[in-house]
Amino acid sequence: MSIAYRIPREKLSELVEVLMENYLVYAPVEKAGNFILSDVEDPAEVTLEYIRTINSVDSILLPPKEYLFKYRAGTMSFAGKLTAYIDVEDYSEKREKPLCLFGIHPCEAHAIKYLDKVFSTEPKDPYYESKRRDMFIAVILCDKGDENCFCIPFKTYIPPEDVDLVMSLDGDSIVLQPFSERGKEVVLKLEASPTEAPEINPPQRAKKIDISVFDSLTLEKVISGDISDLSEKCVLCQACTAVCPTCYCFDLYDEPDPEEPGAFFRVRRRATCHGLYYSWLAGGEVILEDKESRFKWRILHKFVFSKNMYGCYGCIGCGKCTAFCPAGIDFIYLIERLQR
Amino acid sequence: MNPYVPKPGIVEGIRWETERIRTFVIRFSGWTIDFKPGQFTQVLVPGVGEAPFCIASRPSVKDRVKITVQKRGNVTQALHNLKNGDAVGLRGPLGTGFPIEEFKGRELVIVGTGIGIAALRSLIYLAVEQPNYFSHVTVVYGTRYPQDLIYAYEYDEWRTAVDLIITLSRAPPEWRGHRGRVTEHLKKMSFSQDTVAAVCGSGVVMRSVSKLLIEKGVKPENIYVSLERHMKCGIGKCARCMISPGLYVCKNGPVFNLKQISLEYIARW
Repeated sequence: MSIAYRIPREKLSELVEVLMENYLVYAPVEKAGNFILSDVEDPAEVTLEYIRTINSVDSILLPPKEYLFKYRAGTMSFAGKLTAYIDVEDYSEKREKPLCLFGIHPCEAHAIKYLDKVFSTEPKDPYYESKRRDMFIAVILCDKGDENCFCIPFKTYIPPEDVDLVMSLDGDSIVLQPFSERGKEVVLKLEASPTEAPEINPPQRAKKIDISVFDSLTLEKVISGDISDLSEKCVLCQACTAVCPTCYCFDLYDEPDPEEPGAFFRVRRRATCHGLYYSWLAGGEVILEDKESRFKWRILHKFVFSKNMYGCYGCIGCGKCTAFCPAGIDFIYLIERLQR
Repeated sequence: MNPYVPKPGIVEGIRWETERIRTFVIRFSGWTIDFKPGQFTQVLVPGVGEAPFCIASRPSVKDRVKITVQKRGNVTQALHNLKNGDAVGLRGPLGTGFPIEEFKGRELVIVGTGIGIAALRSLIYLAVEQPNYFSHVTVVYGTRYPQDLIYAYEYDEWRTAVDLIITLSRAPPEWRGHRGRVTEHLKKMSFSQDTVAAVCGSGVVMRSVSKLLIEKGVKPENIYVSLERHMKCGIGKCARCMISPGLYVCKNGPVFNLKQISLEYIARW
């Protein structure tokens, strides 16, 4: 669909309001000087002018801490025989409205496609599926970016075809290009005038690097490379994996329900390969013992393993890992060092 | 069906194997399984959490499962505190297991050390239950001390179908059986190009055994190792068990042949 529509910028909140009728809308809002993807209470707080949000789409699809189900287990006598039971209250279907991710950059929409490959393939993850089902995705084209962005080699500044709406800022107006029937229905609810579809260009300030930088990473190169001087600076804050839109590792554990003694929650908590516990085996052996091995593991997972497992890279070039690293460790510099 | 939700089972038998190792029989409440030797199950101790264990039962048994547990962390500790009649949860069978169809009619060498033999017991019982399934089976099982040996009460039954070599690496003077590491006994054996091997033990042992088997002419694609990693979800989502070059131990394994993974990544990242 190449038809686009133009609305004045003031009508942004109206567009959000229309979506809020049918969706639980998450959009970038400014909080304490940072932009975060947050559930929208007031459509007026939504902004489309930002470089990057602190959190990512994965923090909505795979929350930092998520209660999966509540259970109660025990035994009872059945037909004169002792039998066990597990009563489960499953939270995977508790959503009232489908979700809408509004105003995310195209790279993050690509992150969703990557997460789909992990969680929507058999056996499907019911908790991910329930959030992903009927999800409305409205992306805002990214024109500026900054020096940490490296989406150009992955071409992730181009929105994936299965989003619903592509937006772009043009002077005093917003150009809306529906990519789906649902997207068109939403736009037609507004007083919008037809216009030409916007051109899609790479963000001006994004790093101009070539995909060969990533294509040439091999298991052997990563393992034998020396990046210890860089990893030594790591303060183990785990920000890189927490902000990464494609990081998905998690932990499962049980937690008692304080309101119902004897009942327990199965909890999913996001895990990070930069933590010691991540690869701790039963015998006490730790596979990823030092900081350098954890950096290399993250790079292997994103480039070598993902390519083998899912046929694509697990990195979309958003640059968050570099931008939010308090130790100033540059992800691209790490990769370049491993090329040598 | 939600793959994260466990099904109920009841502890029906507990056997003390060693000071730190016990074998549990868990009867399923209202369901059955069909599993392959080498597959595993996530066992839930209500309120404590889940841990993965290889299914050690006879493959023909569908209504209950046997697991052998060494006391190590909080779940295994809690399992050791269970009594007969206690409820547990189970998910599985998970993973791929040994490709037993490909093993049919061939010579099989099973090498286990320590509690690693638990992951191989099911395969041994396939040989016991179907004596003509393999052309010949040798089991080489090693521990340090005699008190570390598990399943001692059933070796006579194993011997009806397999050649069993039990060897101790730190045997006391009064020990009348074999001495030394498993590799020392494997060195004396000869294998054909068609021999398949099933190996489970610590990473270091699996690496040295596999290396030796390759030197003795067993093809890498015929050497199967059963790996251990920090599995949480058991269904290839949480990525905690990932190994080079990009495989989930829980979903693609825990049994791998040495064409799928290379020797050096058995015990490291």
